[in-house]
Amino acid sequence: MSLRQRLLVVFSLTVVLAVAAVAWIVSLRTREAFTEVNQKRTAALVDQFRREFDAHADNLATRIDNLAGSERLSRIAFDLAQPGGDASLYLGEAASLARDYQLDYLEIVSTDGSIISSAQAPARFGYEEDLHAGGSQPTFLKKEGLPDGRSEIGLFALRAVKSAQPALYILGGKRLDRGFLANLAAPADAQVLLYPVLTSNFDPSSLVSSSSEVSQPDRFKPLIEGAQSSAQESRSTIFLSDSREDSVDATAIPLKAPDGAVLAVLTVANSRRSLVELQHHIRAISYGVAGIGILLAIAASLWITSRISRPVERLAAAAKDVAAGNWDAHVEAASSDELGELAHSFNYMTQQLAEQRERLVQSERVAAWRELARRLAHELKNPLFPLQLTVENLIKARKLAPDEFDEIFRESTETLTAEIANLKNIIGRFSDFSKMPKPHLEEIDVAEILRKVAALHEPVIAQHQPAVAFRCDVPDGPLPATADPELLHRAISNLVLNALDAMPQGGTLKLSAQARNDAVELRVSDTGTGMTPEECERLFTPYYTTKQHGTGLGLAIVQSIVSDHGGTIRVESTPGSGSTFIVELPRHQQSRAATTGLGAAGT
Amino acid sequence: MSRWLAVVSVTLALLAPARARTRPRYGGTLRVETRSDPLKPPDGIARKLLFDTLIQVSENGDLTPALATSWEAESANHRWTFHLRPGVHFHDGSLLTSDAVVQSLAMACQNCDWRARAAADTVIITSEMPLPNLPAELARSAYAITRRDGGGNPDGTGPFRFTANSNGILFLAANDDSWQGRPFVDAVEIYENRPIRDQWLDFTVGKADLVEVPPELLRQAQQQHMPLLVSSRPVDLLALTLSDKQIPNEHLRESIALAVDRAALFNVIFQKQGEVTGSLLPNALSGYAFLFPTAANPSRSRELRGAQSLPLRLSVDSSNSVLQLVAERLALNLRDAGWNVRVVSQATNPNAELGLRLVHLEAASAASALRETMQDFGPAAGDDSADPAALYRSESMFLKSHTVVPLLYVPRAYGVSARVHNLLLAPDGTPILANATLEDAR
Amino acid sequence: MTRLLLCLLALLGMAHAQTAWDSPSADLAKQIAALTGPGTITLTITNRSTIATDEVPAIRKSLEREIRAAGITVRAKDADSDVRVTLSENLQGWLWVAEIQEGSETRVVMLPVSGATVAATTNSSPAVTLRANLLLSQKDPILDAGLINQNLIVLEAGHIKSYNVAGANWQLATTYDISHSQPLPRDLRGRLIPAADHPFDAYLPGIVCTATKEMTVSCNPGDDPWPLGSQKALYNPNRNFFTGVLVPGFGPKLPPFFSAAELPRAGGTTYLFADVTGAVHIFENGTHKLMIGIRDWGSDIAAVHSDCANAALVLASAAGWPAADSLRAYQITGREATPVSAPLAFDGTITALWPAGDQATVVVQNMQQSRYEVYSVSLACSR
Repeated sequence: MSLRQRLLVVFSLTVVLAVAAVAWIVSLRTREAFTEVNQKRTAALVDQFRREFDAHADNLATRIDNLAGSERLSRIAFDLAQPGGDASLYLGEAASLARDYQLDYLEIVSTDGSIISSAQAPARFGYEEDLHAGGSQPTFLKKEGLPDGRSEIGLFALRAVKSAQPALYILGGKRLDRGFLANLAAPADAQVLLYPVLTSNFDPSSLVSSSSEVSQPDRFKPLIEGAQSSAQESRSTIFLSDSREDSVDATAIPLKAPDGAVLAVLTVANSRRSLVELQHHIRAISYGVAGIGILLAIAASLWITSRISRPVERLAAAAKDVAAGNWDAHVEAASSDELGELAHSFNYMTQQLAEQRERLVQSERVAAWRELARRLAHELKNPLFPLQLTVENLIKARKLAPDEFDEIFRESTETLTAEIANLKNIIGRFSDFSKMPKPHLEEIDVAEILRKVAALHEPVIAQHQPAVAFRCDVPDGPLPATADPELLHRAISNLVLNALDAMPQGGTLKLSAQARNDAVELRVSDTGTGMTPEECERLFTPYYTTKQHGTGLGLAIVQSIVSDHGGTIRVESTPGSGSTFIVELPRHQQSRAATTGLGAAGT
Repeated sequence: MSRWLAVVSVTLALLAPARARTRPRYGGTLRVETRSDPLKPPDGIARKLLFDTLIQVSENGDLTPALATSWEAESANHRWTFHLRPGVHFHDGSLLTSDAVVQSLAMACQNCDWRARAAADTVIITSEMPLPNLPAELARSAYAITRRDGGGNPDGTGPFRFTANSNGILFLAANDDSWQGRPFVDAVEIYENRPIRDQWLDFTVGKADLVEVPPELLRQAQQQHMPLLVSSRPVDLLALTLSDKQIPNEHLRESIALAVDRAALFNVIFQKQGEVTGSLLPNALSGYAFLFPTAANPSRSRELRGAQSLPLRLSVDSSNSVLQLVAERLALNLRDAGWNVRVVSQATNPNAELGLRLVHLEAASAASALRETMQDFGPAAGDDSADPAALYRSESMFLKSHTVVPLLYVPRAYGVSARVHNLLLAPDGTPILANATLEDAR
Repeated sequence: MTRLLLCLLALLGMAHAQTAWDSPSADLAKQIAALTGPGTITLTITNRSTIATDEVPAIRKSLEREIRAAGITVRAKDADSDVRVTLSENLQGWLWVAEIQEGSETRVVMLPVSGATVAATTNSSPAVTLRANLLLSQKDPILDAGLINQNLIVLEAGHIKSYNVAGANWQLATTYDISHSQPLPRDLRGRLIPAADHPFDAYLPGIVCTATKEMTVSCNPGDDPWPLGSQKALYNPNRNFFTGVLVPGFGPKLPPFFSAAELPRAGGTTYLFADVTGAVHIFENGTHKLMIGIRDWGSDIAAVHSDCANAALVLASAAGWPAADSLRAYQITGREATPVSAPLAFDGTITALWPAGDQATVVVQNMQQSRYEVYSVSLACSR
């Protein structure tokens, strides 16, 4: 993960967590505040309904009072008080009065309690009506049986008809039903429900509402039953469906008869829809704000991280260039802060490194030339000295007899010729190194080459004093590889001669080869003096040699040949116990052969 | 009897000072309002105006000639010959023929056990069973001679002919060629399906000449000084029917019969109009109705019921508010006796255990009325004798099974405007509009 | 001769009434005895009929006597059987019902008793008293009737019937059918006029019948005017009124009318016409006026000579409908009618009123009994 990504993640997480925390706190606080408001509102509604209910009861009482004082009833009372007064004439009176006075229930009852006329159950004339059901209350609740066997709950008032001699009572009332509820002024989102207690078990179909059908009457069951059994007001939040909006804060108020029996339960249900919707709204806004905040935060993080990481990246890229050898790498220092300073330092550093390398190259080049000059002087000095002595002998010999002189002259020319050939040989070797030929690649058998080298050098090694043992450990089968046979022969010969030179006290020289993966591994080992690691390091440098004589070009030539074949050469050596040169040649070097071939064709 | 005479005399006392009598005048349009369909068989108010029967029933229950001038039975009442009145025409001008009569009788009587055929100017009716009461049977308005004219309108030989039926008004015009003589009024307009409240309103403002006064409102009408026509004898029987299939135990049926408190129905709901009855016939017709007990006996009822508490349904024509009230009262009576009763609508519960029925009594003689009533309540073999003792025996046998509990006989009554003269009610309580005249006619 | 006959009839009726209860009592007692056999009974009698309450003790007495005659002892209590007799009534007449209870068993016997007799009552009046004698009562409608040659001739819609005296009753002697091809009007009226050279003529709407000395009656379609006093008037054959055309007439054009009265006066004949609208026109000395004081008048009027008033009075039917009608005599002074008699009440509607010499023939439709009664009404001086 890059620095930029890490920065981005850290920044984003920080912002998201912060925003989420704020949103959660806001939401929690909002909900608490709203719940509190809603509870207050419900309480106010309940109070309002209590007042409305009381107002309706007062209104009913007034209406019944008016009815009791009406001329019509007074006249009926008077008629009935007369001897022979016939109550049957007034059978339909209650129904008509109930219509006029908008009452659901009305019974005209004589002083002995027998019903003269009943609006709700006209057939009950002559039956007894309990005139003491209401106690002393102006209005009271009562369960009223209907002709069809059903019962209803009504709000009743009992009054004596005002006349000279009270001969009549009227018992009038309003049904507690949807119509009654509809008359109670209810705000739009509040619902008033009435449950008349007519059966011992909760009957959902009895639950009526002021406005519409009650959608989930069963959900009110626990609340209503609670209020019914405790005869106390009870509250609860009721969820009408799985949706949270469909819930109400409900307060159930038990409505009691004078004897304390709960006859009905009035439930004021304050819809939580607006509250929940507001909550949802606020939550949606907070989510929106949080989302936008997070996006903005990510954008800001991107910008910030890019500002911080770009110079570092440039530095990293420049360092990589330097590592790759491009010492000219340069970093723009756009700012003057720590990163700018870092860039300046980096630029300075590369500049210094480049200058130092330049100096090192100069000094190495001088050292190489000195070594070359020393070696050349050394090589040339050796033949020049006999030349000088021979020439001086000749000069001295001239004074001698001609015979003697001739003798001396002949000997001197031979020496001169030999030394001059030696000089030519030296110069030829230097010339060979300078013009190393390109390899002509072909399919060869490396084992065959090794056997040839062994055959070439075996007689020489056999004559070596002190004795050197020679072992050639080559597989019987061919070791095919793509190589130039001549150059390879020369390189291995060099290594064999080098090994022989490393054993002036004798030892064992071992030549071996084996196939290894896609390569052929050649080993030339001796049991000579061995080399120090420093010597090993400089071993392949041209004109470097550990021997008293030698140009220092032998191993350099071997390395050049191996390198031209795409192979590697390395040395394993321990001072005092000999060295082993290991050459690895690739078996196939098609491309290289091709390029080499082309190159060869071009030369 | 003295009771209904009192009713009539009250009525007459109300009528007498209201108008000066003259001989019937011709002309004018009589406006009649009714709650029901005036053409509905068997006793729609217009049927007696449009159609005639072969035989009529006189005031005292005698059979008198109508479209048939005479009739005789042969073969021990297995074969009857009715001689048609000559020269009678249908309203469309075609002559009344025996074929037309046979056709009409066949229409009216699809399940009868007799067969009519035409022979010259007579109609011959034959049957496997002896038919001693066939003339009385044919006097019922169900057997009025009717047919449809080319336009599908009702056509008959009655004193009025059909002219139109539109906007809920049935228009009838006087039939100049009526064999009983042209009626006095030129036209009758019958307003159909008018609620009583609307009828009385129209009556008050002078828009209606004849309106219905249900028995329960009779006393109210009297108190409002409405000029009234009341049938001289109660003609509608209110009875409780008990299904012997669903309540096979006779004791249980008797228990139900004994729980019924007729006095409350009579005194309060029907405002003391008509008479309490334990008999299928009013006392004025039979003379022996008082022999059937009418008092409720709740304790005996409970005793007979025992532990039985079969849930009962009492079906009633729920469109009739008074019958509904009566049914509810009966249900209370039965509940007091320990029965579990529910009042239901007749339309939706045709097979209820109990039923409240209002039966119209058309026949004017005790024998035919008894037979007619018993037939209304189900198959019953009546005694054909006119002897009161035999009728009593026959009725006793019928009522002993407690499948029918007669409750009340109530009269029919009409409010009649002051401009209507000479209007009388037939024995079955239908107004004889053909004899009515209008004061302000020319 | 006629009056003698009427008195005889009345007497016969009374005699029948006195013994009326004995026969049914004996019949009922026989039926009771047949059920109880000899033994003891208690007897209670309840009256549910129109029999007057003061008649009940007589019935009880008669019944007890007959029961004892059958060998049964009537006790106040502790008897073998309890007999409850109810005097009831149905359409056909009275129905006496006896319920015989022995233990828990009740048996019932019934006895129909033939109907009541009704007599028209006469009221006293200040000047003139109207007397009505019942000539005949029958179920079929009567249009007119008259005593002609000691026979009671009755005009009906389809027949003319001739009755002879047979003991205390009239016995139907001959029936003459009146055939007609056209339907007769609903409020059918007819007139029976004694003739000089033959027994009578009968007029019906569109039909005229003539009886020969040999008492054969022939009827023919015809629109001959009906005799009305000195005039004859054309009758509308499809309606119930005279057209207003008089033959020979006395001058003015008349509206259609139901009835007329002709009052011979010193200065000339005064005519009264009861028209179809309810108004009564008076033509006197060439003047035409509408009568006043006739609010109670019905449609039928007739002029009858009164010895007491020494003038022709007008009998007018009253506005009594349908069950109680009355007839009253009026003196006509100028255009005013002054009642000179108390109303003579009938138990029914007067359907016909025709002058018949110094009497008037009145047909009453008794609705309660569904019978038509024809009376001869005469004027008598009040004391």
